[in-house]
Amino acid sequence: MSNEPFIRIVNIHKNFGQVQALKGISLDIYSGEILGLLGENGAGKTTLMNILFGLYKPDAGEIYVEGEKKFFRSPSDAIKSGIFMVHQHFKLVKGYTAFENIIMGSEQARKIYSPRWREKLRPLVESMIATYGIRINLDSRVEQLSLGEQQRVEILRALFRGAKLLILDEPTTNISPQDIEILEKILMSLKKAGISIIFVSHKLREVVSISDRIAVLRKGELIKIFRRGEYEERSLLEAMFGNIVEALSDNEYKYSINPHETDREILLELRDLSCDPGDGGVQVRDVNLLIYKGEILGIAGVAGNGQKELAECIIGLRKVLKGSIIAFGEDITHIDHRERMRKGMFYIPEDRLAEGLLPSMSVAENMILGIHRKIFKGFFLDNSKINEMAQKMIETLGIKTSSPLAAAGSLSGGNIQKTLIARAIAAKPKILIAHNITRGLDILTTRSVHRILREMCNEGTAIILISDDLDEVLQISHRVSIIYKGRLSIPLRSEMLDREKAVMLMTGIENT
Amino acid sequence: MGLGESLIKYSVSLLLAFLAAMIIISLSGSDPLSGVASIITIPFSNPDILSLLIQKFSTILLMSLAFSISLKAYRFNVGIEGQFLLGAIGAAVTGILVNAPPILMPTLVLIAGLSLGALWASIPAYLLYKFGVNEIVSTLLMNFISFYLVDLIATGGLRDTAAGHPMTIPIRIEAALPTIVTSPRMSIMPVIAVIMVLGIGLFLYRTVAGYELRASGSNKKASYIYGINVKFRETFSIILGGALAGLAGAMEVSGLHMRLISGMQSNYILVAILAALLARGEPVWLVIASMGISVVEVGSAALQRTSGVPSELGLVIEGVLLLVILTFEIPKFLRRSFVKEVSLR
Repeated sequence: MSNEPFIRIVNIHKNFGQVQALKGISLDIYSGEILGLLGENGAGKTTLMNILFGLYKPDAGEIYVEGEKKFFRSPSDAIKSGIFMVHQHFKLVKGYTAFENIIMGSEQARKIYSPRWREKLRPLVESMIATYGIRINLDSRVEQLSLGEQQRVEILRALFRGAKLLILDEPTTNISPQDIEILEKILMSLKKAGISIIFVSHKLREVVSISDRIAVLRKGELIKIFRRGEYEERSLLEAMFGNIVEALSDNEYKYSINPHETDREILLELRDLSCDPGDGGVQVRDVNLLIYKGEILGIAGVAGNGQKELAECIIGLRKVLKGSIIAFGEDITHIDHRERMRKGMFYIPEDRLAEGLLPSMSVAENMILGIHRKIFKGFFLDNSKINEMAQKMIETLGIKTSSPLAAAGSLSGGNIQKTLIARAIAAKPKILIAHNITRGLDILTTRSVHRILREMCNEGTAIILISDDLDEVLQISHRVSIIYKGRLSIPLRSEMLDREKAVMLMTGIENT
Repeated sequence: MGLGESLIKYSVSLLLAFLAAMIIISLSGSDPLSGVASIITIPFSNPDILSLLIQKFSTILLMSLAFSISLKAYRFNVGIEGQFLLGAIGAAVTGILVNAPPILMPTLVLIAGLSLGALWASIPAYLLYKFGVNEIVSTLLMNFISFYLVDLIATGGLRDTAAGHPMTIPIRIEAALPTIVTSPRMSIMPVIAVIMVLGIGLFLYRTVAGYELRASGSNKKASYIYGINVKFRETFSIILGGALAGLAGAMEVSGLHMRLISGMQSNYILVAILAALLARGEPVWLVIASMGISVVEVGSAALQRTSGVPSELGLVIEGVLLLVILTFEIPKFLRRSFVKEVSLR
């Protein structure tokens, strides 16, 4: 590590309206190091990286690249300085091959005036692949690649343009555990080649295993920088969460659900269920499952293994090909989702913006969607009751909004999620299907969501908790099943299933 | 966005719109300042023109309400013109041919217009419901059919042979709407329009059907998932709009012209859509937007008579107003959706 940093960020401030997102951040990034950027959701990680990549302009502060002061007006300015960002949602062009995506729009491609320009660039790309030891089929079209492979194409695209600093935003969120291992190896070889990497994540374990230094952000401030091997995990946690680490200890958390208290009354039964994969969906096959009153059944798995398809099939938004669904002792296989909801089923979809929120309507109006036909006074909707109920929900869930009448589209992601959860609470369902309900929420919010789920199941609701986060599922479920390629493993009591075994099932290394 | 910010936005837009008007007035050789001043003051200058203003306002208000109701369900019923004409046909034919007790006649005429307007809208609505035919295309095309239907009736058996322009003979005296002022004659048109605004406002914001209609317009997919019959609500919003536009047509026949006249649709569709977009379909704001547009329409028509400035000036003012306001909106929308995308990661 040289003494002169590659990038020097000095005293960056950024406000969004009243909110101070960054309060004077200074940070150096050296050549050939992996810097972990750790912090809860809303700590300012993404904002800081967007500034470094030229997507936002800072309100104050300076950025130096190799000692030279720079003003990034747009990402193309940052790219000229060798700074690249791989976003959480990849930005590749579908319908083109991996190779075409790598060379597309690059300087090298622009310099070749020949109809055979692709062929001329091919050796360059191939030698680059060999140098960094990245395995990828260059001639596959993007949509044929797994998310992990797509991520490698993104990295190659940046390298081909001469990246000296690679910003990876939540790189492990959407990819499988094996792909995470491959990613770690790639990052190591990039590091050896002198390329700097900023690894942005809220997943402590991964950041710790790979970073040379870890910068911890909290509420827009840089709390501390930890050097590899010179700290304890506990001090890292304290930097991240402040003095609430104690209250967050996982043990206390886990035992707050008593696994033996479930009622043995069966609320829902899936018999040999196979679902219509629809257009490009995953085929869910031969699912057999019993769900009891007052239990949380967790379904864990790597994203894209049929979770959404299964959830939609149970609630009735997707056709059943084979088998049957029995709820409350009645065959509901051929009943539409409206009728199922009337009988006491409820659904919180994964995509909260596209499938959950009514952005132009008020927070209160959002909370009654689904039960709005029951809140009457004479001929009209009972607005005073609705607003009173909404006010209560806002207080108990701690939703940050100026009023129950504010437009729900103006809320932040976490508060939108809480609004949708309030909707589920208001519906008082007997069976709740919840898909990735804590994704993108910070730890405290996540915890309060878990508490709500627990209270609901104490009151007798059966909850099917589908989540990409294995630890979450293990922590709060009574029983856990793993979904892999559309098949469910036999549910085990969560204390009977250890993490290692679960990971093996999730990745298909081990079969049930 | 606070109230102050909107106030500034709308004031700046108004200012620019009138600035554009002044340029056009001076190009046609008149004094721009007094020209603009007279656009605003003429409509209130004497009882006759004031009554004209109120009649225009009533029709524009009802028409913009008709467009707004489908706008709330995120559907674009640009067939309000045809629905208006069908309403006028229904009213004229009923008012001429039906011989019911006098006390029932006005109601009958209005109901005939309302039903025919709804019926006309239900054709594209059905096509949307059944086959997913885009309502913008189908409602617009239905307008052209309605023009020829009017001509057919106005030049057919009910034609007024004494008139030089295609129009029907007058409706029966008993079929005329009651008046609230006798000189100049003013029917209960504005009363009906305002009652409709209140009724629709109540419907949209206080009933389950209205809630479902707005929810469908806000997020179709979420509404479907949580049990709303989105297709039905969309269809319904177009038919309800057709009924309101039909009512407007019937009102003009029985409260103003006393007959069906070819071309009586004027430019209502244009100004009604303008008003609805300016008010974003909110019933209360529709009253203000419709009034403003009526003043400009009546004022610029009067200006043409007094100083020869083309009356299209009115459309220029309204058009610039909408453009500037939309321009204000666009960057905000882009900014917001981008920030949201980033903050949700």
